Amino acid sequence: MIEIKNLNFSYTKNKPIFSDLNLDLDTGHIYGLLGKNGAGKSTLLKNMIGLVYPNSGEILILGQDVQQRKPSLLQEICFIPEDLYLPNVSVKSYLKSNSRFYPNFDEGYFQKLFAEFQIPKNQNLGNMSYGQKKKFLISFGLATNTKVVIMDEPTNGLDIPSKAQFRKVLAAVMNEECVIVISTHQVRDLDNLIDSVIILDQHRIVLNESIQTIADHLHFKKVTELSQDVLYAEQGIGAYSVISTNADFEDSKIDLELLFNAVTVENEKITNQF
Amino acid sequence: MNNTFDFNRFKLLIGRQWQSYKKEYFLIVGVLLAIILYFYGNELYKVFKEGDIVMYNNDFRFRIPLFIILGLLYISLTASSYFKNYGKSNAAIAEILLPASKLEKFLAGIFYTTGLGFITYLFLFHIVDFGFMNYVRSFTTSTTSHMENGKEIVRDNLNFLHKVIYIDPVQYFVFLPFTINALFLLGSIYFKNKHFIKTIVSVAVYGGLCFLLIYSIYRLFFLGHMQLDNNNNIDHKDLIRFLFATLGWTITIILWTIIYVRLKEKEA
Repeated sequence: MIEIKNLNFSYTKNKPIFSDLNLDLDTGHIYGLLGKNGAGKSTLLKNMIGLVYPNSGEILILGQDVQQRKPSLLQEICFIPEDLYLPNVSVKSYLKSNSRFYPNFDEGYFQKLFAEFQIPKNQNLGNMSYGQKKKFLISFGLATNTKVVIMDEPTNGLDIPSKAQFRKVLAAVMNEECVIVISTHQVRDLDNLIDSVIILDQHRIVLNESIQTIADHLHFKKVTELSQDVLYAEQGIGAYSVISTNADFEDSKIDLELLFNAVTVENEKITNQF
Repeated sequence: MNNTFDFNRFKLLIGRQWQSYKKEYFLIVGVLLAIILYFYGNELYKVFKEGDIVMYNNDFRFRIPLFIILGLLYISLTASSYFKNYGKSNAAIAEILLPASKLEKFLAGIFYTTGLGFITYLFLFHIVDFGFMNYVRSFTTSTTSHMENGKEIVRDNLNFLHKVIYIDPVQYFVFLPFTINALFLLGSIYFKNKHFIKTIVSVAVYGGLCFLLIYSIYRLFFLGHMQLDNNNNIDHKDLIRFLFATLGWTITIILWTIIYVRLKEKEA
């Protein structure tokens, strides 16, 4: 669905952001793109959908070159940026003038999400709070029923109930024909939501595995004493949160924050397990 | 699906732009109308104050300069703000990712800043002029005459503007509002902010450089030379005007092409 081949990108000549980056994202998955501030998450997403042009390399979505920005491709892409912009018009007016560009737009579904997120109906978009704007754009974006949904820090600015609603809504919208990519540095927000993890560190993809593969190879647990098989440990109150090799194929709940820290600190130790 | 131009998509785009542009549009129309009405009203007030239009020697001469100056200001201001969203990263994302082709987005810009813009301006100005002049003509007349080749030519000083302004050689200058539109439209997509001021400064700099170049060529080749055949210019007046208009249209088309290319290459 999304293919990135030998991507080289830089904003200035002397500071390359990506060098020969390759990435394949398939349909039927929700990818979590994790990385520290400044790791290049937003830049990667912008490259992915043709908002910026790479120095070299190829980026294809549904087999089409994103740089061409063809309407046939754009109507299959929904992008929710971190830095939002909505014109100062009513919800009705926005829907009227934008929804018809998306042939699969489902107004009934939009109204359902709109109600679920408790966004005030008769408010102008320009007068909405940041969180309300975000919820509005998420509702609109998901109602477009596009095959590619890309969200940059979607949970930023959402209150706690809205974050839970967001996870619920996204899990329900997932189907075998679409791909969802969510970039965030707040890894806990993606707990139980994503089925694949991409970790970006210092402009490189240091991990790209499915949750299942991670669970098969790594074991997440809390221990009071560190053993030999521990790959990474963080001291908590009265216990260590650890990642160890999963030699016995035991089930454990993946702690995304711990995994993220482990991959960024002990990269080789963790990635060698796959 | 036609990815270059689709009429239905273009219609949707025009409708979408209208939703966000209509408030601004009506505001501009209101301001324009107020300015035009002020000038006409002020002139009419002077007429009534003097009591006699002939004594006052008023022939509503302000109309042509007002029409040109206000028109140029209107064209440049509307064009310089049309692509302003492309200068703001977050707003540019919404514009770039909108499922319409670059050609459709470009043509929508031309439609709003020339088609709708020009028609609105011409309609407003001429409708006000028609109303006022009709009223003035209902109670007074003002004519001047002069002899030309032994024949008396009578000029109606209170004629309607459209009868005074659209006469030969105005057709050679029709390109001008389009060139100005293209210049400011380019400024609106080229600069990130303060589009109007930056475009004016750029045009002044380029204009100055062109003037310097032409002046240098003149000094180099023609200074100290004298023209012997004085009829040459008069004989070729129409040809010179035609070449001037052709050059104007060529520059306009080149500028529009650059705008289209910039639109294609715009990043957010």
